[in-house]
Amino acid sequence: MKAQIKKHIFTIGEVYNLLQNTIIYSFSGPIYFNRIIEQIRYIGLGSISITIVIGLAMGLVMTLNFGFGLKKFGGTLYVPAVVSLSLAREMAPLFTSLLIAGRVGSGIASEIGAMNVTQQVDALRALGTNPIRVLVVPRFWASVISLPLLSSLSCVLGILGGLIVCMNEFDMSAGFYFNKVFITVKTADFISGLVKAMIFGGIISIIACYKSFNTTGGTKGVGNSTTWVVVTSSILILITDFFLSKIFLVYWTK
Amino acid sequence: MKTPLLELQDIHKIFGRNIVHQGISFDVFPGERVGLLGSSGTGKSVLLRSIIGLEYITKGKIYFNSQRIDNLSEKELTKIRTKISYSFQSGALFDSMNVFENLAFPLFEHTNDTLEEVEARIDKMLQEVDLSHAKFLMPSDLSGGMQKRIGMARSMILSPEIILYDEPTAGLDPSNTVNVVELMKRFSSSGVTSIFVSHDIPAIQEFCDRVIILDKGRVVFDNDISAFNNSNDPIVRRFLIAEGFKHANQTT
Repeated sequence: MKAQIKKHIFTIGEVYNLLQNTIIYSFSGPIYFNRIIEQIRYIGLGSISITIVIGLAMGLVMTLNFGFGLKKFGGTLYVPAVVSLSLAREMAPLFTSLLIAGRVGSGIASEIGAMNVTQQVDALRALGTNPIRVLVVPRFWASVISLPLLSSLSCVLGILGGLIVCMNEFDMSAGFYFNKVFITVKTADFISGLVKAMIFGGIISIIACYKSFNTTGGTKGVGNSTTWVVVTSSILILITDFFLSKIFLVYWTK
Repeated sequence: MKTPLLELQDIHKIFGRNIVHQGISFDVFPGERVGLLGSSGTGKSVLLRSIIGLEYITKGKIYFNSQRIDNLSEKELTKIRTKISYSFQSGALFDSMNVFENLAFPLFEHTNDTLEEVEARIDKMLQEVDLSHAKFLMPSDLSGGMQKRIGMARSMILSPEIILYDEPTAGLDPSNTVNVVELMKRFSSSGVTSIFVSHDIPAIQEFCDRVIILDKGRVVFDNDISAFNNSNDPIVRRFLIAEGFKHANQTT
């Protein structure tokens, strides 16, 4: 038990150390812009299709549930406000990030993990290059840049999904729907969602890179790392989301 | 008196409860071709990794060109690693890059060469390893022997002062082994110092001018190749007899 606690504390320290070094290397020495662009292409553009699906699905399902739930109390008119606000503040960044944790987290873990077990990471070091600079920094910034954009896309599509349901199920006009959305969702709400997505992006990339640098045990080890990354980053995203929501609700969006 | 290029002083390395090295000391002089022999698990590769700083040593000192390098940070080691090169057993080519990109990577990292200059250096190096046709192939399209030769070419591309070969002939057929040893000789003729870790006695006899044998974490033999070939030391005889057995089994 004591050893387990010690191991977890050590892991937290190592992850913090990696994050610190990533930020330091981002602002000193050469920056690999091409690699950042390449990663944005993989993390951002490559995740657009699943973001479209999750965004639309969230909007459609949430609106249906809220709509029929509030109908009993005559509150259908509040549906656009409830749906758009929860999407902007919470659901879009959270669900998009959880999905990206599965897709991108596992991708990073398997790619760098495989590089680690085949000595390619050692080869980078032996060639006088810092693996954090080459492998982590581009993935970190690509995630931090891509996640808010994907989250925004998911939010917009979710609101459009809500419009489809409201028009077809609750006889609401598009004008009324958007009027309610724009009155309810303030810039601060939208920005709080973007900040959350940025932080979640950072969590996914750092956790994935940390684990992949510590991958041992051949292909089985790569598989284990991939699972660990998806589970751990998802849990961390959920825990962080609670505290971020609290901070934003109390100090900012109110 | 000649100044050693590399000095290892009382190297100790412990992994948990496993004592790998317990006081290894030797010097390597410029231009030498040193063969490092030892049974499996005696820490030959660990020693090479320690020299280049991929492993931290538990105790002892390593000097390169009279500069202590075992206590340098990762950042400080960057410069040293352009002068000490490591050739991995598997080649360790970056599998997301083709052969050209693999060879160009260290050049773009450490030189200010233009693309034309980089291309010229790579073409010359590919000619040297006799793999010009593989320039735009991916590592997955290369055979094991070709991967090793490209890995060796990548280690040589920055013209290091010393190159550490980690079992470059392991798993190769005799013809590819000859190719690799010939390549090492060609590299060595340009003046680069070599440390060659191997179990392949004929390759050691062909390439090296000095042999060091590790046993139980210590240096138990350190002499020139003729002394190795004619030694009556039981540990040396064990290696030579084992090679004789292997040869006898192959011919019967």
